[in-house]
Amino acid sequence: MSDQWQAEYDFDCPVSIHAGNLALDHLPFELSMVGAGKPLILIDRQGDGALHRLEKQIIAAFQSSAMQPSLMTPGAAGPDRWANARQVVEQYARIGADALVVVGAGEIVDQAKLARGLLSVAGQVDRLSVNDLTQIQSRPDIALIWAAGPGVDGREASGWIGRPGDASVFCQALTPDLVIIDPRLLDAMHTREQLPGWLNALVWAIQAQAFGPGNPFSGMYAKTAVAGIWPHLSFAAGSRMTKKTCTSMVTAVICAGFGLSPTAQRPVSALGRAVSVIGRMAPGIADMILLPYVVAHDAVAVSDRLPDFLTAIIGADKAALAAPHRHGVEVLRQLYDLPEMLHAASGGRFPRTLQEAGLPRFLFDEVIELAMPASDRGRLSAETMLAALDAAWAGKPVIN
Amino acid sequence: MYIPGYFEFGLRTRILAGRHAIDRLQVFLDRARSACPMIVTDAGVVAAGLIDLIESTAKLPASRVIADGVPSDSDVDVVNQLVATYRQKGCDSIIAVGGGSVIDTAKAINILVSENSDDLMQFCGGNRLQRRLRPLVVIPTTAGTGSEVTGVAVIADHRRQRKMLFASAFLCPDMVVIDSRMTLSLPPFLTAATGIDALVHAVEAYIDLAKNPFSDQAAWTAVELISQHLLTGVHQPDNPDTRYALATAATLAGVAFSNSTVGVVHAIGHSVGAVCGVHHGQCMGIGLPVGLEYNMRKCGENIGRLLLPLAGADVYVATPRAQRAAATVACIRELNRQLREATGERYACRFKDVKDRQGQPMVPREKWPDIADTTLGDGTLFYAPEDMNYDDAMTFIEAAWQGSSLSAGTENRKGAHVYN
Amino acid sequence: MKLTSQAMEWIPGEKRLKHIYIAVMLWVVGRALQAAARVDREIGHIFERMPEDFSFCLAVWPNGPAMAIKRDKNGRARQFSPKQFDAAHGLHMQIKSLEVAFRMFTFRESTAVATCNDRIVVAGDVPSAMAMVRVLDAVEVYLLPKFLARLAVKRYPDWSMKRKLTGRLLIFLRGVIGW
Repeated sequence: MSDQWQAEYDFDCPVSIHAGNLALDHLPFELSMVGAGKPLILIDRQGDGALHRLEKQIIAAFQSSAMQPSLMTPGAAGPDRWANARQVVEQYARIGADALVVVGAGEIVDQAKLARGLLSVAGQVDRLSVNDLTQIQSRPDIALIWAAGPGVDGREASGWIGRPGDASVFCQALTPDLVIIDPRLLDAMHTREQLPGWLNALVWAIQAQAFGPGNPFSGMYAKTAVAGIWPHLSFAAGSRMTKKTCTSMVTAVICAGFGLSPTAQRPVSALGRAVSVIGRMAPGIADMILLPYVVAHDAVAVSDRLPDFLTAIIGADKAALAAPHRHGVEVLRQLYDLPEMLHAASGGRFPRTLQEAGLPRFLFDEVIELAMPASDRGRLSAETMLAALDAAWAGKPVIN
Repeated sequence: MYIPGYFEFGLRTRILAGRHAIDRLQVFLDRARSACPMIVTDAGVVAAGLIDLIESTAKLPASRVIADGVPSDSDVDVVNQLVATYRQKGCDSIIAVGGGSVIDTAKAINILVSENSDDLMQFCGGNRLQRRLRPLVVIPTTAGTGSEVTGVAVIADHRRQRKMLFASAFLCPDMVVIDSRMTLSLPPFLTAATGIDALVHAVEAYIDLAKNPFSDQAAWTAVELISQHLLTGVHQPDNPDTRYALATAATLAGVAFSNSTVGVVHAIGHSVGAVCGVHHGQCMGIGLPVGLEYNMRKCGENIGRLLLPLAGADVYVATPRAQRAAATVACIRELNRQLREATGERYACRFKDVKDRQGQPMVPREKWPDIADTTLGDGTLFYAPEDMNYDDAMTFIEAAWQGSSLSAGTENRKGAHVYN
Repeated sequence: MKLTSQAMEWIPGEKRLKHIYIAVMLWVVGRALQAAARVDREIGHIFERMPEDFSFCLAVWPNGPAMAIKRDKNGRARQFSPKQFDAAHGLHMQIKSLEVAFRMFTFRESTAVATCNDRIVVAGDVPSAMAMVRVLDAVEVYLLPKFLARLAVKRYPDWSMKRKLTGRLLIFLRGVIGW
């Protein structure tokens, strides 16, 4: 185990996970355990087919529950998160609800967190400033349960509201109390469409430990994330997954989000965001291609931090055979090989390099200019960014 | 990654850790908005100077109350007395500084002051609590029980001669402070016994029926840390790195077993402790190799995997796969033997050698039927991969008493299924 | 239901068929348990050793089908109406949802696995709960053919054919007669 945990640390991740067969059917019971009987359930407006399916599952879960639930689909106020959150708060008060349940992924979970925040402050307010959110230290009494739907990218169970690094805020107290992962809710979207989000989560998990500050508990989640995502990636790139594999993948993705602290360095994501914006590609794909090229420039990350992931990537038996001083390099090699593996599994659809992903070389300066101000860039300099972009464009691995 | 058909996992306790983590205790007090914490502890912790250390570094409010009368075996009368103190002094949070008994006592106090009740029995059993309790932070002074991250407490009612078990997610402390200075004064025997207790938590969590990906990861890391540092901790008690590693391992093991649970080793160990008064950690160390042999038929593969964090990559690779489970058991027996040597034979490798201060054996044969009876009523058997009946329990106890290898036990399992 | 941005309350229905199936299964188990306590010496012994006011209820949360058994003054197991069960003082085992109960009673998940998966909430004395699980396992061995009972119990006991067949016959007879 790496020694980065020897420094002082503060780890807080109070989100519980219930995952697997019939997980959703426990939802009424879990609500009763916090004294709730009238939950307001927010369902992701994802397109009629998916919405209908999610709705059906929820209605079935509440049969024979003796509860008085209500359903709504927020989002009528357009992209304004606060406006949608206020709408939720209004409805919550109108029906006299006593708990919040959100079904789906991404934006709707952000809205639910903000609604919870608004409900936890005294008096009616339209929005909370970053300072207001920082002041919320205790978890509100109103329970928030999240049932994961298609499109999970991991940040939902973290304190982030919005994607980390965008114009987003962090408030640990507003994380869901419980996340329910039921395979019946997850397969409405093809795995190939969900793949970039899963790759994103993989990158978050690895860089949270590689660039620190990590600790044994965040490491526990990060390693579980990698062990859960990695073995299924090639399958995910190619075709649909079994229910069990899907549960495993989404569980892993969600726990990758647990490492998304407000202060962690995320140089890969900082550069990847810029590449995805300028190059017009999904963030997960940009991050995945860039990951080994950025990590390779940090000798401490390679020698001290990456070895922790070898067992998660290749399994205990193979990891035991590798010479200990080569563990970091072996992980790096696996990361370089991953895009190639995904390319083959997807029948050539997944790009192996930034060039294949469609980023022109002449835009490198723009990318660097966009990435430099990122608050989570860490120690990644403009020179290193250029070197990494160069190598990732051409597909030239760097292994020292 | 092994993923079961269904599982639940939670880590509700915030973790503050470091060489000087206690210095940041104010984080808890600020979050709890606490102006009058009650420090619950025992005389041993006070005598070791740990409360003084906390007071000098954490800058607690002057209104804090110190309650140091917790006995080594948590007691309902003491709980009630301390509840009265809490109310009388207007306390608004609890800081538990100590081992398992102190932590359980603090949890029980928290139940009564939060629910505004005087009857602990009302909350006995599983899932009787329905809302968050008042703020509670734990500063463990042993590296073993893992209670700092669990939602379980056991309180003895000595007058009625029964143990009350409380289980609820709301019992999880709000915060644990892992500070390497807190276990520096732990003597060799207790270091060994509590360290082995943590190891058993991790191992049983890894092989039991309720295992899941998170508990597996936590258990694995805990086993790694304990196997690397336990003997050093006994030989070099002043080594802060080792103490820190063991304390971290104990909390990780607590995370593992609180989400996966423990099994036959704890079922037997609890019973030996209850009937004969043997130290819990000692029971665990003696029972572990036997427990692994007992479960070999159902969990041999998982037991074999544990050889890697226990013995290292070289031994793991050199051992044929079919022999790894047996090698894991051998590794544990060797660890027990080394601990016995390191503690001047105070730590025992079999129940036969466990003696009281007067040199009398603490686990005589005539008590075995009681132990077996009590074992069958232990809830941890729910989660054990291999079922256990009265005959099985007696065979287990005999093997643990002799320090011998448990046979496959086939002769018992073919016998009559005796209910008790 | 057409979902909108206005919250719409609805009254969840009931899963009638599954409810009936589980109710029947629980009634059969309760009846068999009562009979088995008289037929099987060891099961009877367990009830004799229980406290005088011992009662046990296995139910589906929140108001689903249930089965209740108590120890009468002669130390025998007696089935009674779950409506009369006192949850504050008895041993209460609740299955978290009707779907989970259906899964258990269609032998896709054993009691042991369901307990490990936190599908069953136990409120009350733990040693008594352990004893009741042993009794339920034994009843399932009597009631079900081996290939099904193996799915339901953790360890299939090594009973003689005589014990199984005689016991099964007597339990069925007593169960039908209700004595």
